[in-house]
Amino acid sequence: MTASRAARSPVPLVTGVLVAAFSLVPLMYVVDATIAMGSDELWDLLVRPRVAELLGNTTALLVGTVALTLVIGVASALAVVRTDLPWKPLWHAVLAAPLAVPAFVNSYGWVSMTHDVRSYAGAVLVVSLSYYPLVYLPVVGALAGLDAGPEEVAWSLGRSRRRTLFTVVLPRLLPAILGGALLVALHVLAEFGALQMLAYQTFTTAIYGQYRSAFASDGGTVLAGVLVVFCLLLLVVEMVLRGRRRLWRSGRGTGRPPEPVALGRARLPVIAALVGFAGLALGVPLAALIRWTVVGSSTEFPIDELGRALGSTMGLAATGAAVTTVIALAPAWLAVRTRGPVGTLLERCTYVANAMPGIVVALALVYFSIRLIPEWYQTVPVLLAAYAMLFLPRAVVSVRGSLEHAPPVLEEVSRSLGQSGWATLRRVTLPLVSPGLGAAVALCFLAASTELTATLILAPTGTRTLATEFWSHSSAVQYGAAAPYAILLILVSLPATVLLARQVRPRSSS
Amino acid sequence: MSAVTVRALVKSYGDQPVLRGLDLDVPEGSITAVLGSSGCGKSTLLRIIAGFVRPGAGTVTVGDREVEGPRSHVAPQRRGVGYVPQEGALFPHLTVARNITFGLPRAERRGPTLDRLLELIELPRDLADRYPHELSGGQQQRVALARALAPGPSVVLLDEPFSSLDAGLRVSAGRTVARVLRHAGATALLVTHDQGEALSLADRVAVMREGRFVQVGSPDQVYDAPVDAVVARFVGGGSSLEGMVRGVQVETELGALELAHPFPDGPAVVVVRPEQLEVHDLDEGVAATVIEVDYYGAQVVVLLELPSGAQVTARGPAARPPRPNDKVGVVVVGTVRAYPDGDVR
Repeated sequence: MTASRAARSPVPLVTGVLVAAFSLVPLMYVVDATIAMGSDELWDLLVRPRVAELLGNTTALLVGTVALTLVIGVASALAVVRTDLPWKPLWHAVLAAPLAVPAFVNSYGWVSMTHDVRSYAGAVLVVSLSYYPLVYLPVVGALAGLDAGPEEVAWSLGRSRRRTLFTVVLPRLLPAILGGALLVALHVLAEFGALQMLAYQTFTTAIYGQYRSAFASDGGTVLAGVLVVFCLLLLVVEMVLRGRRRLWRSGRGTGRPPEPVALGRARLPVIAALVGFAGLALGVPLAALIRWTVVGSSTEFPIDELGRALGSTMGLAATGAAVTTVIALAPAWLAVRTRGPVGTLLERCTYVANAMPGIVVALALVYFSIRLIPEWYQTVPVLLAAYAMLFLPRAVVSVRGSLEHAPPVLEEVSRSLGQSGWATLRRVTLPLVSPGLGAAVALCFLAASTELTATLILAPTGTRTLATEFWSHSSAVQYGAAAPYAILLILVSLPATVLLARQVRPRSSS
Repeated sequence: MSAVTVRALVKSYGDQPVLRGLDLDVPEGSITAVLGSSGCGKSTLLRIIAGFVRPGAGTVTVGDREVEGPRSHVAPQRRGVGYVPQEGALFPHLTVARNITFGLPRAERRGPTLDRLLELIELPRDLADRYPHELSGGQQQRVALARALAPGPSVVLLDEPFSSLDAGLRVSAGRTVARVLRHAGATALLVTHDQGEALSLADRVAVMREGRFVQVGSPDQVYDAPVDAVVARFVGGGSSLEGMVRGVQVETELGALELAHPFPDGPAVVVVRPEQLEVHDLDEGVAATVIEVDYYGAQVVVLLELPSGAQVTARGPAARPPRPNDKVGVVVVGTVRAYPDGDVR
């Protein structure tokens, strides 16, 4: 009854279709270039040992990383929200902090300390340490909002705490867990900088190699096509697992949090594990940075260059984040309020671009801008469009989550009190979803300020960002010269990370 | 004059008809209750009047303005219709005061209206700065009512407003709401499935069944003269018995009973209210066997089986409650109403 009514206005649907089409531009490029190739050549490029090797490498990394981030993310979220762990706010800050360290900076830290991480296990470890907050934060948010009622019922029905965890708590966290796992998987598929530094070959690094050696070769396009298929499979799996449930509580306010679990004798081991974990996730990259800043022979502080890179990074990232969040509103709205196949399909369309490596998005924009509006080639609007395509899924996940906190009945009440659609949006819906919008802006800012590949290709000539400067120094093995840029990258990401961590503060931390 | 007039309202979801040609007048200043079991379409009616759902056909007039018709559709925010949904649905991000003044023009939000409304709903002034989750369920309900009343709507729609409250609170919350509505001189349309709520709070009760109104009248009309046996059993409860009308009497298993109204001779269905049945010792009245006894302190409700196997319910003072399997005598007090045979469902 409620679902059919919200779909009346054609505005969200039309906007949603436009946004979906926009986010599919990289895919169109891959399809267009593949069709132009001819089937014989396609077959030759597709069926060869190199592709099989990359497929094996990528799959193995994906499985290992998703599994490890899920274990770390869910376990640490449970420890912080549901136990009587001391100093919870501190642990929460520490656990969210790796979000401020870009994956390629983290890899630089590890690689510059030991070359042992240039292996499968090393890649899984380092990439997971960078990406587990993508699981941890949404799970903390979902856990903190979970009502104790169903759990206590399960207990009273004779279920043990452990079985209650698996049968009652985790299923209700499923949307958060799946959303996080999907984000991790898509990040791993698109990751370039960290894996290049760890010398682990995946489709993305291979495509980069191809494009660098031969501007827009068919070989690279074919690899990108395989990657897109990979991504589509992930989306289907997540869609099937998520199902069609509705998540908002129609009850009064929020639920009551359950009693924290007493850790008892496990207290010291848990604290020790968290300290050790923080050492790996934060200690190693920070120690490396400090070491290279202090003792690195090539260290210098070119204040002017740093300042210029910082200014252009913040300007680009802030604009990109705002644009992306506005664009994300339409698909998120459709996905939550109509929850039909069309809404879900449009929402999923926006995910496709995220699985495309930045290089493919960038080259798709080069391809189309040169063909359609040549004077736009290497301009700021095209770079912002790349950011929007790349980070739209992040924004959609956050906005969608927050829309689930704004049930339609509140809008109906507002209408009945004489408020127009716009006034209702401004006075009811936006305030309720603004935490989620803030999260979306923060996530996109974070991602855009550390974006490397698309920026390298699309930024107007002479525009240098912190990430591109860091990359050119560190790939020339000037670890010392790269360090100040890495520190600035972390500092720029910090406010957004703090905002995000605060948003999902574990509520029962008393 | 009617505050709300509904004519020939039709609504289907897919090929599932929900409203099948409804007519309703809500008199100015009255509290009208729409009473029906769940799924009868009463919430849909409310949502159409509020403007959230568009009907398939029919008209809705609020005051003297047609807000819904073949060629008109007034947006919900321009109807001047207050809406109190289930559980109140207060805006969780706003304080009590800002919830109440939400629908007022900006300049009036800081005026005396807030204090007047707080007084009206009997809410202490110091709760005005609290957030909804810091209030009890009944308080939230009253704030939701004040919020709906603040802009001075032509009518307030209440959708099962007490269903989420616990039993004790429900009665007092209902009484408070009715008092507030009367003090405010507001017109209200209340939707409920609770016949006690409808009879005690409303001036007029409209009984709805399968998308139609089967009876509209004052609470005592609906209770004393139900239009058919089903309404009789739904409003106030009662047991149906087969009978044979002869003149002013009807012959039933419980004896020859006096009719409350003229009825043609022949077979009929008779409805006997629980409070009309008195349970005595075996030597009085018609013999029956006690099946169940529900003890409510001051009252006792007894389910009885007659020799034919028909079951009847009696309610009375609990001075000497019988026990299951007791043999008792049953006496009918007062007049009964008869309905055409075949009207038993």
